[in-house]
Amino acid sequence: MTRALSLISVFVRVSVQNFAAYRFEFFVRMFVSVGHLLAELLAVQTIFKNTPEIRGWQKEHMLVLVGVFRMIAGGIRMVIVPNMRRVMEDIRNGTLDYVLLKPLDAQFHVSIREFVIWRVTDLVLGGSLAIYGSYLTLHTVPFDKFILFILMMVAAFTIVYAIWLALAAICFWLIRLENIEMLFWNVFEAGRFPVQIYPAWLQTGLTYIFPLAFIVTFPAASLLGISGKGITPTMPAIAFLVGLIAIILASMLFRIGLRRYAGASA
Amino acid sequence: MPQISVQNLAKTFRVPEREGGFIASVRSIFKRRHKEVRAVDGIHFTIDEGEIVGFLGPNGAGKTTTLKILSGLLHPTSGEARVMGHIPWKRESEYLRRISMLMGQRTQLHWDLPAIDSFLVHGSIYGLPKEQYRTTLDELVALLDIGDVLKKQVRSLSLGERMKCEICVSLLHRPSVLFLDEPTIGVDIAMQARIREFIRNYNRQHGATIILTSHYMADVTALCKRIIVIDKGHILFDGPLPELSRKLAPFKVIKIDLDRDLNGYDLAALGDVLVREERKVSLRVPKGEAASVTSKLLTDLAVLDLTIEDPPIEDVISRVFGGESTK
Repeated sequence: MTRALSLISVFVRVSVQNFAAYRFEFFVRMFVSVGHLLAELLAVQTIFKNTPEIRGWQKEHMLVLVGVFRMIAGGIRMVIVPNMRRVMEDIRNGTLDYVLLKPLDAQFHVSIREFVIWRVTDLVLGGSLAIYGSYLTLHTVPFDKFILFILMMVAAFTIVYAIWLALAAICFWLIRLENIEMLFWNVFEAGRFPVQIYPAWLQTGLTYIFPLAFIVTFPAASLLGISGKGITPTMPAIAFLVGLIAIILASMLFRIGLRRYAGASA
Repeated sequence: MPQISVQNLAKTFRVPEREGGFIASVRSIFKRRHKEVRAVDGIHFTIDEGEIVGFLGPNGAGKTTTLKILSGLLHPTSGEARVMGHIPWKRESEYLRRISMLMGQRTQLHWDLPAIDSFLVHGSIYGLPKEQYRTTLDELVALLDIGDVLKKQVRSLSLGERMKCEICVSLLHRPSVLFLDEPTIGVDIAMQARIREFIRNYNRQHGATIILTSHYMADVTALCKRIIVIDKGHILFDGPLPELSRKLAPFKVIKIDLDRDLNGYDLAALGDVLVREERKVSLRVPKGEAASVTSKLLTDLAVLDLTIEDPPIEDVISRVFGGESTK
């Protein structure tokens, strides 16, 4: 465990150094990030000019959701996308060989190699907005809800990581599949809104097939208190269970893919 | 006990196959045909600690596949292999710590980062103690003369500089067994010579066992006392370099100095004429005919001096791989 953490810290340190070399880019990106967030807030503002609530979600609630969506999207782009993109390229170019030559678990290794440091801005901006929305709703941010929220976010990232790992693993079979990432982003866009606004069949799909509810809606709801937003006291346990199942399946797929890469499956 | 032993090793790849043309293409969507390619076909050899062995063979002969199996990247279809007592494809951490593989055509350095960052990451992955990392790095940097390129972004390095950095990163954990697949590919002749010199020194200083493949004969003749020639997955030859010509060459070169001019003597009827000057002749003849041609030459011509030689190693290799093997 200590070794894993020290390795992650080395990769983070290298990414920070690399990022420090592009300071100007950082400011431009931060500017773009803020711009994106403002546009999203404007959309919320426009919607709630016409209606006080949508399926139990009021304007303040939506601020939390927009914040959580931004945090998750930022986190994905900070840690998951750069690493999974690189492993897909490695599979295509044959450079995965160098990963397999290292005395390190391959899945762990390919998941920690790159960090896009400036995406921290998305986590900070999104987090601040979510906390602010929660404060507007409850006039305080209760400690227990905050802890619950953190747990739900951990489960959310676990699920997202599992989805991406599975997408990357598919490249072991379909080597020339270039745009597989879009598959994720197109569905993920639906997470800008709470799952409750969708028809029942789609809600079920977005909860148990592509568990977007566990990725955005439920973490947001947990910060708002558990009544009426589809969240029950057992929800964190269910979220962790979903995360656990997802990660086990994705790891299995990745391992089978690796065996195929090494020609051991034949 | 040998450090590397390989017995009856075979690797078969299954590759999709289709005929050209529109209809065949459409048909292949529904029904795919596969072809089995035996990249390595039942090879045997053993290598002792500290040996440098050259793998020679044309493209697709099975050299890289063999190296990949030995470094644990590929599972063989059948057969056995042991390196330092380990079965490579089990990929035990203890084993991977003691080997290194360098693929000249693929980079392991991070393209956007300075090489020194890739070195640091490598050191951490292998859990090298700081002191050891520092000492090894200093030593390698000095030997490879890369002090002034360490902090440059890898993408801005020349091919030669990059290759030296690749060698450096592969050796940071001081591997006992090294698999070098085309380590000098694409670099200029002077740089090739320096890389060769470095490999020789590493072998001497650390007693490392090295298997090397290269397209450049000079790499092999300069570094390897022993050669393994692979073609179509089979070993054609395994032995000392000088014996390669003797065994594999299907011909001999007869050189003669003459006392008198040739005066239209028909040399072409005896063999391939390589050199024909007034009083100096060089002939290539099939091995089995060398004795009879020599005796005919001695009878017919006023010979001052005659030598029978094995042809140069480059010629032998190119003839063997040109499909003129006498296997």
